[in-house]
Amino acid sequence: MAKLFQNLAAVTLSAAALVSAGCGGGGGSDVERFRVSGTVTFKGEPIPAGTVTFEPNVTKGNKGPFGYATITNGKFDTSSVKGTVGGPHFVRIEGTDGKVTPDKPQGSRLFNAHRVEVDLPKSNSEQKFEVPASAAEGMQADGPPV
Amino acid sequence: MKLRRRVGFTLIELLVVIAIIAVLVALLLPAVQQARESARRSQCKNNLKQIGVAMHDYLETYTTFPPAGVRGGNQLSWHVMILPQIDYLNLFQQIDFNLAGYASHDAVLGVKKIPAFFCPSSNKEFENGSTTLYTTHYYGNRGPKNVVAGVPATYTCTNYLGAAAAAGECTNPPTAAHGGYSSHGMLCPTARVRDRDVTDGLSNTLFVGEISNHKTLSGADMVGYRKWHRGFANATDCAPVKNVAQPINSTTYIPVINFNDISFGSNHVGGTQVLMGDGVTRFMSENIDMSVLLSIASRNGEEATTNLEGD
Repeated sequence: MAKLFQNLAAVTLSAAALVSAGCGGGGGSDVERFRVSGTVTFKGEPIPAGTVTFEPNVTKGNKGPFGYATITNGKFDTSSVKGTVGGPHFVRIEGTDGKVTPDKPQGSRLFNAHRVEVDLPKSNSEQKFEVPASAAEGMQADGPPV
Repeated sequence: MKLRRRVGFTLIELLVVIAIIAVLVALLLPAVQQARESARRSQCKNNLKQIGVAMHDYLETYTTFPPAGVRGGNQLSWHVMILPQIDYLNLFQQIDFNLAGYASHDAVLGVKKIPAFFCPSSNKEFENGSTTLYTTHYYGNRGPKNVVAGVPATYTCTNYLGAAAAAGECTNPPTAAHGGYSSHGMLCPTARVRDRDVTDGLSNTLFVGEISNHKTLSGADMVGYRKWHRGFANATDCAPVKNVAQPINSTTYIPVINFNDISFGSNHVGGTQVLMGDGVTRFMSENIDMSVLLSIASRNGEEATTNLEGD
């Protein structure tokens, strides 16, 4: 009986060693990202659909990866995708009317992509972005369906 | 009386052994899944490597890299042009290059699955809406678009004829339909790039990347896929190459608006695989610095920061 448990112990140990060897790797990222959520409006109305992209403002010495989120009914939240690194950013906002037609499955563009300059805190934050009516001036037509 | 020593296991001992084995298998299964994904990642990397070798083979033969796609005429993609270099000479010889329009090549090319053009980590292999015509997961780098004007360099765009674009067309955000065309990439819609045109250095320039995962605003999966042999079909879109203007793995494809700007992305955890101009394949993290991403996407931007490590 003692012999049996000795054998068992040896087998268990070697198996455990094999398992742990297989579980190595998967290094994390050294970039700290912060959650940004909030609302986006166009002419005071919530934007039905679109994207918010956070571009670190390189001209002000900020650097890091892009952050982004999608807009749904005027709200966005980076928590499900990629947060921002904080600091000075350009925020690029693209919005569509969400009206689905066969050749425009995401609706039509509401305005030329709009850029806002903001200074984001180095912590989770809520932001409110307003796209002015002037962003729709001189808007180019959407391309043909491809 | 001689005590006979019993040989064998008791029921309890057997149950203990079985229980231990069960625990070990439970521990092992996730590791097996990881190993399988790791193998798929390697295969994907090998596909990119083969494309890189084929591109350089093409360069040796024709003294230039292939164009992104043929404008007008047969409208075929760079994937078709490197077929002889990836051992599909027989298929290549079946093509009637006088047939106008990429759609007329569906019967010969579209129905053919070229395994080297697919990342095994993705199960989407047909063009959007089709169940018979194959797409591809590898797309050429058409070059960066400015996020901030002049930083890290000033990038320009061209229209589909290769002439300078109208003011504002090269800006990111795009105002041109589908996003316009950057003129700093390795595979350009009209121009053919030679190795001497890559003044940032082949090893510092993104060549081909992977799009094996993308979503639309509404969360629909991978509706941006088109036939793999489709080249430069319309004035405003060129399917087999993409501008670099969006974050890696971002999910921001908006049909009829930013088709040319679909970002590189994959199902590999944490980033995507890319082929550099010198034929080296790398894993590019989705946390890559924005200006580094733009710098390595340009072949001639003369940026200070121009390699993947960011120095």
